[in-house]
Amino acid sequence: MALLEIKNLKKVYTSRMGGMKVCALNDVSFSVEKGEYVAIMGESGSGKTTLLNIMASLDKPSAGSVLLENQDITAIRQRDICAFRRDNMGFVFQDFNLLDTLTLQDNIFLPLVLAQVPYQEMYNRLSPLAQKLEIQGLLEKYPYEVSGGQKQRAAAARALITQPKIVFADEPTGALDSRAADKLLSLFAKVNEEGQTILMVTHSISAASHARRVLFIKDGNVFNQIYRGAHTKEEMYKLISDTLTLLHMGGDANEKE
Amino acid sequence: MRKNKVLPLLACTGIAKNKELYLPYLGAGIFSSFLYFTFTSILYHPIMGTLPRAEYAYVMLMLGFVLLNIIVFPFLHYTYRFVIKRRKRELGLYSILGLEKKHIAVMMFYESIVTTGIIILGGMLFGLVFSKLIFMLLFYMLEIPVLNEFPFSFKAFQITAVFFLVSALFNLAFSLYAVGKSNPIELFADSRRGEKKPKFLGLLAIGGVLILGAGYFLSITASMDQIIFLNFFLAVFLVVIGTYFIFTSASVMALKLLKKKKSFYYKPANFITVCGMYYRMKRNAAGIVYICVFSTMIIITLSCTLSLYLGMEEVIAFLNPYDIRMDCQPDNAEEDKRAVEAAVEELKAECGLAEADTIFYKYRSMLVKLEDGKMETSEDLEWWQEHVYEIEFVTLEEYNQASGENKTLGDHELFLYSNGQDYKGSAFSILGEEYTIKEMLAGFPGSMKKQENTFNQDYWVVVKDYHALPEEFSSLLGNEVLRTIINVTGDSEAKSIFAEKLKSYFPNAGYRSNIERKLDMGAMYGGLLFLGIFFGLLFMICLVVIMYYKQITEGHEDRENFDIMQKVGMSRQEVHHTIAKQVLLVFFLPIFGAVCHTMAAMPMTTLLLSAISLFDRGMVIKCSCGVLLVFFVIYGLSYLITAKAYLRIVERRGS
Repeated sequence: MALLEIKNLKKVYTSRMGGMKVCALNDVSFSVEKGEYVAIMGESGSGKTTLLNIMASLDKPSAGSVLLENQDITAIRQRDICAFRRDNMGFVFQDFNLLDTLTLQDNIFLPLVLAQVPYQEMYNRLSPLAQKLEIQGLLEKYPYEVSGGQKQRAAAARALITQPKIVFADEPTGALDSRAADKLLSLFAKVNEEGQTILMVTHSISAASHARRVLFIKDGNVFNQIYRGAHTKEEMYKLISDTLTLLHMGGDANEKE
Repeated sequence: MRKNKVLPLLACTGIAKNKELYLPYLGAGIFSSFLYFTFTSILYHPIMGTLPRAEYAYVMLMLGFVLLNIIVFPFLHYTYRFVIKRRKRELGLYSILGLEKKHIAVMMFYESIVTTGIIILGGMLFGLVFSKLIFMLLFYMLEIPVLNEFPFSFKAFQITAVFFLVSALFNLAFSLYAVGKSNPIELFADSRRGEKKPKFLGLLAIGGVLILGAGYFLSITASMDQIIFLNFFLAVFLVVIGTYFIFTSASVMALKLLKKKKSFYYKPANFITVCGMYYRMKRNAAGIVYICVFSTMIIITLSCTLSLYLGMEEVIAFLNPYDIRMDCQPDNAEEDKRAVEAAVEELKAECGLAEADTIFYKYRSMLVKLEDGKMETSEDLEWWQEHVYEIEFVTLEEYNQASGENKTLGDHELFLYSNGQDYKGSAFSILGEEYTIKEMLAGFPGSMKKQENTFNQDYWVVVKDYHALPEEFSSLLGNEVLRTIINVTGDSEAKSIFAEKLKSYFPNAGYRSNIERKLDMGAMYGGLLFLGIFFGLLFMICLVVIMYYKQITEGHEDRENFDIMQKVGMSRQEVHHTIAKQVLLVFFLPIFGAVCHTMAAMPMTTLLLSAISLFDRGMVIKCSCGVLLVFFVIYGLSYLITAKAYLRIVERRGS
């Protein structure tokens, strides 16, 4: 059974003034197994952020369904959706979204505090995580006192501390320099090896080359997908790059690895 | 485009592009200059010359003016700093893009000119409109006789303009210094930095408690003397400073303590509230202090005003217990009485008065000293000395006749009457002979009694007859005087004519009319009432503006935070709950402080009111309670409105 199943997802935006309809997602179906590390790639405007928002229950689809462990999250009532998201999903954003008013530690605790987890439990979960993400020494600092990479690692800790079924990452390396990005991505890979399911949206080839599977989206449809299999990262990089070129050319390939 | 055109343009677009930042700032600034301008125009207003104890009123307003300066200057700086902090990012960007510091300085100078101009002119405009409006409201609706116009003095314009230019210069210098000493990257990061935590918390707290205590002590131990007005303002000043210290230090200490208490801190609503407040606690404390101080001012001003409004008639009646009084030394008392009665009857018909009552009594007066159960007299007594009174001695027969009573007295008994506090003791001796006070009279013709009156207390003594007094004493009494007390009812013009004509009928009599005086006093107390309502409203507007400003600015700051929290999994209800908690704290703390201050200020307030003959403490306290209740309602309403504005800003998605 797949952890996350996307079935015939369709999203149509209607502009407020006229009846202009823009189709962001046409007919998207795919599934994510438990423990997978999936990257979704596509050009700007290809619908990848819309897709992520719908999967993360931040937005509603026009048609189709999103099943997380066979539960249709598009059918969850609005009032319960926050708690559901908090308990089952973790988020890493491009612009960190850390609260300036809180220390890194309190930022990481935030979802647990909202879930009313006792302090001792929170603390027990934090120490191994902080060690893994190499932010032990920074916990008492405020976001404006640390670097972008450190911020993003704290944000990753915040996403992981709830022990979510799946982590959604939206361009997590978008605001980082290449070294900080590499560090974050290798940490993601490490976390994934320990069994954490990760779904990442990105347009960076090097970020996507860390994933075990890459999905390509074009014009609201799944265009292609590549499995990493036994490829090295470098080979993966090449593959992705080639596929993207194909995507640009407007080809209609459907090759599978 | 040349540079000297680019910079002013940048300045203007800087203001226009940062609407969210500049609108509240300009609003607060215009409001301050409005407040300042209105205050100065009152200070130089002709009404100031017509108040009872005008010189004291002037001193009070002058001291109030000093206080206003002390409050407005930091307020302007506080709002300005907020703008600059948020704009540093943009300035940093300009600097990175190649604008030299010199150019940034010039640009900021232009910005200052624009904002200061708007602030000064806007404030004056609102001040003119508001003053006219209040004036008309009082004049036409309450029919309080004040003045028939509201002139503005040039001085008010001048002082306001100078004050705001100076503070703008100061703020500009501050920001230039801040920009000058930091590099672009620092500017870039500065807009997100939390506030520096204040140092010496314990010291601040202790100092605050001591200063506040001193202020309270001044009020509670105040007595009626020359320096009461000075003491009053010293007390106000101390309380304001003390409140500031206490709220700053205590709030920080409390927040630190709460952060340490994990079981409390890590609860959803508390977590966000405590952090948010800790992050900007200095500004929070300042906001709470402003709200607290203005609340106190409103409550006290309006309590006094309401007391004055309700007690005004009684005070005027007390100070003018009769309309006309005539004293003459009669050759034949009965004939004189008939002559007066005939004249009164004739004039009453002539002037068209509804009624004219006359009361006669004869008395002999003497300057005596009444102290320690002894009544003495001597050549050296002066009327202004302590315990020295000009006492009117009246025989029982005269008293019974005048008051329509039928009382009796023994040889060594007497009645005592005072228009102030009752004499303490049941007897006193006159030149060694013991006299029992058979009764403290509750009233006397032509006089009104107020137990609380201690300022101009007089005594009347009723004896069986003058022979009942010791011979040596009665021989020193003044000649017998026939007193006529006349009270009239009718329209005020007729009364005035009546008084004039009566005076001309008896040119030799000691004549005194309160008719004109009553009207004058009506106008004088009306002036005080006007000031009370004026300032009450002014402070009320201050309060609402400050609350609104606080919520708006914080709303803009918090929007991003709540956005993030909702992404992390906080539901709308939780957001609402948190906001309610946060705003409620800011709501209750200052009102609690204000109630404490009001209670501590009560002794001094009643004392000040008794200086203008408003003695009824009970009424003042009742008025305060009433005002407090109404204030709670208004405060609650403005809280709801501002909280709603805050919510609207916070919930607006994206930007």
